[in-house]
Amino acid sequence: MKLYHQCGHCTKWNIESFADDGFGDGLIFSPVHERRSNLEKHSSKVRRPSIFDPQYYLPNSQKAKLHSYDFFPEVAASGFSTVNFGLVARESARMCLEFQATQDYEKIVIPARHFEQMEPKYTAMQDAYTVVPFLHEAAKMKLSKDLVLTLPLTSHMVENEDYRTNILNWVTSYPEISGVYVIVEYERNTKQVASESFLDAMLLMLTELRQADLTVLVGYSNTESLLYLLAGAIDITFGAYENTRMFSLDKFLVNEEDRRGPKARIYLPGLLNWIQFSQAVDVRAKKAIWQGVYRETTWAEEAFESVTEPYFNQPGLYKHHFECFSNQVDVLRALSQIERYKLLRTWIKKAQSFNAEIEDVPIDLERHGAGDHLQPWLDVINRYYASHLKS
Amino acid sequence: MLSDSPHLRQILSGLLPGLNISSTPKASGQRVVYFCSFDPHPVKGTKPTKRGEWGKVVLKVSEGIDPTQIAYLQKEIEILNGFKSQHYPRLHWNDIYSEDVNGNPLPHRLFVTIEERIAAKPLSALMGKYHKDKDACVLTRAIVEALEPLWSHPQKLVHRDIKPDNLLIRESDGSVVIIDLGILREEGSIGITLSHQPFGPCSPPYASPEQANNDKKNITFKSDCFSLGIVAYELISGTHPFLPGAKTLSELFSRIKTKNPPPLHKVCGCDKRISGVVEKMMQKEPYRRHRTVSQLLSDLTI
Repeated sequence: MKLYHQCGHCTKWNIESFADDGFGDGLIFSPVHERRSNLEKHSSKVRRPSIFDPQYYLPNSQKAKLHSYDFFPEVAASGFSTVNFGLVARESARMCLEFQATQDYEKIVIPARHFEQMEPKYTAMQDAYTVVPFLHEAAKMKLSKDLVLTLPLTSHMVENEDYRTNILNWVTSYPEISGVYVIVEYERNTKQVASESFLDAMLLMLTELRQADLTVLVGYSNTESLLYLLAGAIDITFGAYENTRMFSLDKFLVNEEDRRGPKARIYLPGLLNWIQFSQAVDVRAKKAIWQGVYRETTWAEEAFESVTEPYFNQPGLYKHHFECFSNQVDVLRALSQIERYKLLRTWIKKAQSFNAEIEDVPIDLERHGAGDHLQPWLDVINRYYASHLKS
Repeated sequence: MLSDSPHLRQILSGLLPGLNISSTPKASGQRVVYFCSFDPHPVKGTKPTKRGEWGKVVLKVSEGIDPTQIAYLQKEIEILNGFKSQHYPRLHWNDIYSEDVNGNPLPHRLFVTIEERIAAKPLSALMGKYHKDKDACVLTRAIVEALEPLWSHPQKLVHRDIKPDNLLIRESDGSVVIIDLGILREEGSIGITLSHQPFGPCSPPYASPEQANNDKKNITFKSDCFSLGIVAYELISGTHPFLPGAKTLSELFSRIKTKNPPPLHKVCGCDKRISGVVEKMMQKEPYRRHRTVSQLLSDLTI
């Protein structure tokens, strides 16, 4: 069970957190955010425990950094189309595999395309696009590292039992593939995932993938990934900016640098949530509550002592998150699945209680910080315990 | 449907000089199968040239075959020729005949293959010998090992007709020989069978749910594992898991697709672990079965 940094903008913060501070077990590099020449400069100490996500999600993406990789479909095919890519699919696969092998990453990732709709030919299209060419080339190259298949899904695909079964049958039909890198796009208007039906289905799918003896890495996940640990040895991710904690094709389309900077938020492990920094200052004034929800880090203390409110492009609050989340994962991973359930249940109930105390102050946390996800989480883990863990 | 007849034997004897038919294990159906041999000193200049050295052979003849069937047969030949394994019979000869020895056109083309005759008995004749759970487990493991070269072939082949009749046990050492590769399928290929058929090529009592549904995209080595699970269940319990009570083909397929047979440890008190392995082999959804051959082999190791 590992915790990877999902890299995005400012990968150096992730590298510092991993290499200097010792948080996380490795990184997942993001070519849409980092040019090839830059990526190749990372030390082997950073590369070897890490993974490279080739990000073929949007094959005709025009993002300049992606174009620095000659195997990216838009580049390899001199303008991607489903027709002409077939002619270069194997060559693209060979170059991508060669790159990952040369860089000596921990595992080799087979990319996949992201479909935002319930594509009926999902598996056939993934086979033609990358899976068959990559497996063919990997066999020729006799690669010794584990092959991991990217599985980009939508929440609708996960929640639809027939669709999910079809995907599971497909993924498990390749004995050469030893693991999956699951990415789920879940469109929502809340920062935390609060849909019980989605979380139920996700836990079921992760359990089934594990029972098929595949390694499972869930990418682009937020705090809800703590719940996924109930399904056993699941690898999860954490990231700095929000777009590394929820998946969307937007980052392959729009120029995010033009976006307005979000209001600074701080992760409070006792609330299992991020709250606005300005409201955290108010909560901090209530010492009894603060001691329960906050974990002291140098980074957060610096932010609170600063005369100006932290800005979204400063690393402090993200590094605070890395430390807090990493510690929570460390506690959970030392436990059995049943013990994880018991502890998560305690954490969630405590978070609910702290939220009530905060409301009593009164401090009305804005909607994303208010903890509306906690009751659905509690219901989900209780159901999972009853159906999968309780003897 | 082709049948054994004096006329057919006469045609074959003319086309294959020196042919001596000793018995007919399969007298009718898609193929007629003969056990035979050739005169040790055949007339020079006649084909097959090396037939005098073959000893006992199995001659299979099909009639009126269409291009689809020919493609299947040619695939079987190609695979058998490529294998150098003791688990598959050696193929000596194959040809398509449209005329008899005198040059008269035949009413239907004949496709003839001649392969090594192995001193072995079909498992169907030896089921009682393996009814102890551990013996059945050892045999199932040996069958998996024999099938492994097929599954790990670059074309990822699937036998699709695993059943006791197609599993031979050598009399000399009890090793397994796999026969009848006539409906092999390459994983992921479009296939040469007709997609509108309600079920895919198989022997229905040993078909997997995906074969029963003609769900080609899900036919992988795991389909053979399901069939082999049925064989193992039958060996240990002495009962077929789906046949009893099924009066029609449709009822049989419905059972294969939906009925979970009672676990072996409850049926006949077999070892719980072995019961669990067989249960996993017979899971309805392929993803619930063993994902790799090595996992299956490991589970079958006692």
